[in-house]
Amino acid sequence: MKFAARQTFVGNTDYRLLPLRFRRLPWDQDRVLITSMSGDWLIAQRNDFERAVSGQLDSGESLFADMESRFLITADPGRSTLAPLLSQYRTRKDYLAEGPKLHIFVVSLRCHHTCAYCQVSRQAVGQTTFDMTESTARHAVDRLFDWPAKTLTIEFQGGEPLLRFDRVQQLTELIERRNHTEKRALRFVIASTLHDLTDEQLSFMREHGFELSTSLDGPEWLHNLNRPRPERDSYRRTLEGIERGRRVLGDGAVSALTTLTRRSLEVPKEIIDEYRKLGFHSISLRPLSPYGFARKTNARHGYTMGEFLKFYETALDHLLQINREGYFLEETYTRMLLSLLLTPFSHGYVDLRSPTGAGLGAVVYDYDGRVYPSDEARMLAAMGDHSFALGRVDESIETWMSSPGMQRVLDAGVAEALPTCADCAYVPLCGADPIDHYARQGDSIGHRPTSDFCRKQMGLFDALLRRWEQGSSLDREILEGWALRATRREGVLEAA
Amino acid sequence: MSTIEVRLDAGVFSADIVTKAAHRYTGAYFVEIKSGTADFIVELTPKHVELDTSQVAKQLRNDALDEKLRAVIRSETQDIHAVLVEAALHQALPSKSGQGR
Repeated sequence: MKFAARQTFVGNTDYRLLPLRFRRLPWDQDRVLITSMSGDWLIAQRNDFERAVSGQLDSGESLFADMESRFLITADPGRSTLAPLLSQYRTRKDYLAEGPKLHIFVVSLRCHHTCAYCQVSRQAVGQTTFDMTESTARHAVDRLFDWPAKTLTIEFQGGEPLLRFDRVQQLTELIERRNHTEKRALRFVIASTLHDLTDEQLSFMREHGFELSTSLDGPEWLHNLNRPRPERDSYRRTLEGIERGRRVLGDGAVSALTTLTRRSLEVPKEIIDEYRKLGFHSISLRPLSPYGFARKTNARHGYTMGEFLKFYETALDHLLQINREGYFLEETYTRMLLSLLLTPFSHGYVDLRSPTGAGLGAVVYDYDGRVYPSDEARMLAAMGDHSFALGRVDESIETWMSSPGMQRVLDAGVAEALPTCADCAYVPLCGADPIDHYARQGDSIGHRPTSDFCRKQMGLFDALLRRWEQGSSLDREILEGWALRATRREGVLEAA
Repeated sequence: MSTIEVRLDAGVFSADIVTKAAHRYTGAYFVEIKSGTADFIVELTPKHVELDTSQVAKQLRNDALDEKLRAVIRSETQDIHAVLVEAALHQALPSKSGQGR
């Protein structure tokens, strides 16, 4: 049997470019990362890429096939279809389809901690005027079911929500009663210090399938330093809460995250080792935010994004080492970024969406009946800036969506249309965060060359891409394992 | 602090490309662009004394080349980009409108 010549099977060798972006690799300026509009990507020599852009690529070259398979070019339009690219793009933007899924209920601003980095502007334990009223709670539940999402995550926050647990119970029961007819999939999360957690509270949480999200900043000395109570026993109380929560709700129902102060940056390995010691399989390393008390104490506790990225690189290497030793421990934000890099799927994290997740992916019902598109917008309002307030719980969601606050969000809410972002190779995997830019730079569009958000995202994507490209096969396997795990669960990255 | 001057050939680079490339340096430098007869002159003045400026002229020239490449890509793909996004998101509408009261 004689095969026809290879050229017989090659169609029209002309090709045209499809929408794409590129970036020189910081660790190798002769190569570029090239991304498609849906976020598929490859790495190539820059001079080969330049030939591709100028129409000089030969159909026999491997780069031709690679670029075609990733929808960076299309050859022979008569025999090609772009339907898979449309499908990929729609899949990546799947979070747009049903509106907000994350609904945050702030039942009280009161808290017994005096954390210097508190983003929430908490109130003293006796200040009950900062609790959500029954009327506000009932209106908020009505609004919750006005949204079309088939899956609703209800997160109770504070302050310390356990200080108004009766309101948490009432809201939960109202929501479940209403859901008898609505038939949505419900997920309840409580973001709490877990201090003073009672058996009755735990029993209620077990009955309603709650997940617990708490804060653990690292070893005892660091946690007590960052999260002071008058009794100086914050660490002990947190550990007791975690243990009791695990006993009643199961190990998987209790997660923790770390807020990083300047002191934290000195001890990345100690923080991670503490989580391993306590049997956690995930850790969230969260830099400080420019809100609430954190802004006031920034000079004492703050640091530059460059210092955070240096910390992150050390932390990531240590996490990889722990995983190589056979203990599974992932970083949640890294898991999410890897899922964007290494899988075609959408994600549940509202801060990294384009169009923005503020108001389109999440809604916050504050204790006083005001409504915000994100927790950060609520924090700004607590600081006296109501630029992003949507309205009140007794108004319709259509009123919220057409409010000046939502208009401000939407005006700067599409990353692909923002200056500099529009040309960034990472933009198909990144998000617009207009409220963060407003808080840091006084402008919701922001200035990318001085944007901490941009520097952080680029720094993290670069660090992960480099490790994935240059790491051992075991390292790749570990990182891919985190990415695939991210497609099966959506972390709620908030805690008290 | 001393100002670094980078000349870019106006026959190769358009004002738009030079501006886009120079904008990337506005975080660390005060930037001024002057238009000469044959060149654009980009003046970069460091905002901080400790800034390492040894490679900045080479980096800016590379960035200008990259911006030129981006302009070619944009010109060839912007129409199809708009069509594809519209087609892809056409079905991404809420399945049920809110019933606010």
